[in-house]
Amino acid sequence: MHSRERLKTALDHRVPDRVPMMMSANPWVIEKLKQRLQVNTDRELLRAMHLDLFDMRGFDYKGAVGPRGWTRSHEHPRHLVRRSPALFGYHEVITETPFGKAWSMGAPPLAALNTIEALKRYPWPQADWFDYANVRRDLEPWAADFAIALTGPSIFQHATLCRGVGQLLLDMAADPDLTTFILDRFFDFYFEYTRRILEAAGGLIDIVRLADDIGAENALLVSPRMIRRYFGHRISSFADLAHQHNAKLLFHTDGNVRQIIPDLIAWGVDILDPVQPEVAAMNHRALKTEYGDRLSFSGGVSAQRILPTGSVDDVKAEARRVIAELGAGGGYILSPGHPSFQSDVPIDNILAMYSVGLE
Amino acid sequence: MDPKLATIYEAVLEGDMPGTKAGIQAALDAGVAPITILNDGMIAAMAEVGKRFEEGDYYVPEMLISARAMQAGLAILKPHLQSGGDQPAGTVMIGTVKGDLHDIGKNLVALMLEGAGFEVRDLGVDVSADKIVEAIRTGGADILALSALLTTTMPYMKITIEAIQQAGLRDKVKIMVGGAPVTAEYASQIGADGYSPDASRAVRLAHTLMNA
Repeated sequence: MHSRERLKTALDHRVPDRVPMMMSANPWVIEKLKQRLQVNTDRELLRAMHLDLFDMRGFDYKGAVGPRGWTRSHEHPRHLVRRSPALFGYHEVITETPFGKAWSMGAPPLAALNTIEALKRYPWPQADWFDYANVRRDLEPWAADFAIALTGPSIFQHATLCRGVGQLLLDMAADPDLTTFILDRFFDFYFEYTRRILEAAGGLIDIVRLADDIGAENALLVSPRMIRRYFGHRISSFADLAHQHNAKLLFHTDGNVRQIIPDLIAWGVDILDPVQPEVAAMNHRALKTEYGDRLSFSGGVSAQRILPTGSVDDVKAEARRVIAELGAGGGYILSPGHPSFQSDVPIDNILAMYSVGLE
Repeated sequence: MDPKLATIYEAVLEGDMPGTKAGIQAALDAGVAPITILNDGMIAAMAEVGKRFEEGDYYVPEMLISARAMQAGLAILKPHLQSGGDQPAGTVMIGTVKGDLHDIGKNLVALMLEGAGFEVRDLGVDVSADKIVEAIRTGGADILALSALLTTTMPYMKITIEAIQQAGLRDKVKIMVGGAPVTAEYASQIGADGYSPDASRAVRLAHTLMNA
């Protein structure tokens, strides 16, 4: 089965020849994987690992140079993991951990802009910064082998990075007009950018991924009322856009979001990621029983406990469990319960997880 | 409850910063004791905020605006309190461990502890074991609170506690830990005195540790 057919079958809630698989990882993990598998390019890595999805964050946009002074070579490494918040003036910093390097949060560029007037003067990114003329031509070689995910858009998550998560959460309660102004800048840019890419790609894109962490470990980060007020219509617009182009909408949020799942389905979300298994309320069997006929899932393989600290056998058992629970009758993409492999996950464990997908 | 105190209590609970400030000024002008304003108006309101958070009625934004109202009110009240000779519930040093820059959880715990009448010394983010050992040595804090969001930085909690042991300072402070990947089992494995899953329960834990 071609990767795209495999993915489409699974997302239509039918059983494919095997579970479709996707991966994201930090650049240091990608490098270790390439060394281990003795490959040089991202394409060779995807093939060697039998991954089904090409993540467009690794896509090299011709002529994509913004006025902020970033250049392609600096801000657009040809990697599986390019970070789009840089478009909004956000810069990550690299920290050292006991396991090697990690990306972490830099200073929020919007932190001191406390009025709509001040925010209006900020150089917000524009969809016009990009040249979409060659999108289809450049995607075709990838589409020959893989399904394609347009990854990067975010309404809330990137706003928290740029405003400061504590400050934006405070704004949401204290100043709805300011909050709406900020969220609209992220929504307007990503929506138009996504629309133009989907149009230019002419049907080659299978998944649009919207990443907004609205869940904390124990509960929603903000109330269902605020989620509906601030995000409902915006998520819904992204779903409509994806569906108009025959793509599915994947919504990524960490944490416990059980309470809001019926709303996400009503807004048109097709796939929920990464269904963290450490969160009791996100019990996989219960989610599959309750929502499995209307909602697909990705993720789920324990990334807080088993992937970083378990043995190869523990990882295989965990992956088999998740495939059995979330993948029964289709509706599942194999990937970790945190969207991106960090430096503490042993390479053997990553390879073990995906080897189970081939069984 | 005295209607003047009830006004302050309601204003803090609603996250109404101007209302809190005006209410405190009015109570002071009417001769209400500053310590009564603090305990019965403000700290009581923050305890209710914590309760509503645990019950799933309040979320982080509501907690943040209440804490902001509390802090704005404290700025008015503090000059009056000094003469009253009040004692804090305890002193807590707090920080995220080395390598970890994620501070929302740490900040929430600090705000709720302040709201409960603790003195909080914020060591900030990405705090090395050496710096923490030094802070305990120069000290006076009753409790050290450590936070980590990432599985990659969580092991620094263990490294930090080991460094405190090696420096011979382990009996100087109680240590509490928290953060997304942290569990009660992990806390006891690394020799911490307590774990809390959220900011509200962190306050309860800090009280317990003070009385231990």
